[in-house]
Amino acid sequence: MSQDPLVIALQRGEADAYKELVTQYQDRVYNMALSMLQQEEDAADIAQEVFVQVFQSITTFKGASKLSTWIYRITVTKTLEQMRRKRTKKRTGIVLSLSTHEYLPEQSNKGNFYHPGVALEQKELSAVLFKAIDQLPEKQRIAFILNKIEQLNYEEVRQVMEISLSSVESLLFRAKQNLQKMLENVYKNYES
Amino acid sequence: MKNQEKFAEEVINSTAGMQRAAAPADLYERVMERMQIHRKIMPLLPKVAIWQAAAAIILLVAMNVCVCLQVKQPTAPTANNSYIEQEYFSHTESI
Repeated sequence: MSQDPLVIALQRGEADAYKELVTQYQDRVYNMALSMLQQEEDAADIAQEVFVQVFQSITTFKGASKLSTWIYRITVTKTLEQMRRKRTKKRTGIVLSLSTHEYLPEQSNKGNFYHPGVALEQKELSAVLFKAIDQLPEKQRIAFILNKIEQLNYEEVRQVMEISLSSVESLLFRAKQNLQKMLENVYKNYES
Repeated sequence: MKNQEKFAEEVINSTAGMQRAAAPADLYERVMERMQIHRKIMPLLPKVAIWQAAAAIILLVAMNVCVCLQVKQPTAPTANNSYIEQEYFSHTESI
């Protein structure tokens, strides 16, 4: 069982503990979801779902990992669920438009995501980065965001993703390689 | 380093030193509101589930009883059959 006083208080159902947990972790949860989804409203919805899930499942938390690791794991899961729901919705829309022969305008606005936490002078470059991150395979995207943006070390990334350390290294290496390729193409397009 | 490689590196490192964006100010209230709704709905669900389970069990037991009753019918048809057979054979013999 976890020895963390906050966890013990949460498992006892103490109201102050709920407030404390949200206060401590809300920015981390929100930012993780924001980096993945690149939409503020969606990220806020996911943050809400994550904390509801945490409160509902807190009695099952045994303390095998850190509380932050567990919360990140739930955040990643919820975010992936949301991304998959959106993809299904998009596919259904395309199928419907084909069957009704109606043209549906492109709904993606992923091109210009300006992360609120990025310094003004870096906003344009970071927008290019987030556009490239959005094209990475799921696991590479998660590993890259956890390590590069959330500043988790390799061991923490390993615990959140529940994979081996060598897998983390491999994912990050491939993520960086893919990003470099994409960004070099972006540069070539700018030049031409 | 080529320009494009330098550009790629610069972009990848563009988030260095970034701050975390602040979560919505009313996040805690939104979470509590969801929990209240959840608390109102969840107590109802077990009662519904128990009634459904009870109804399903009663239905299964009733079906089993019916099946058993049909299988354990009295041997009257067999007795009749053998009586009919006897009549038939006695008739045919006389022919």
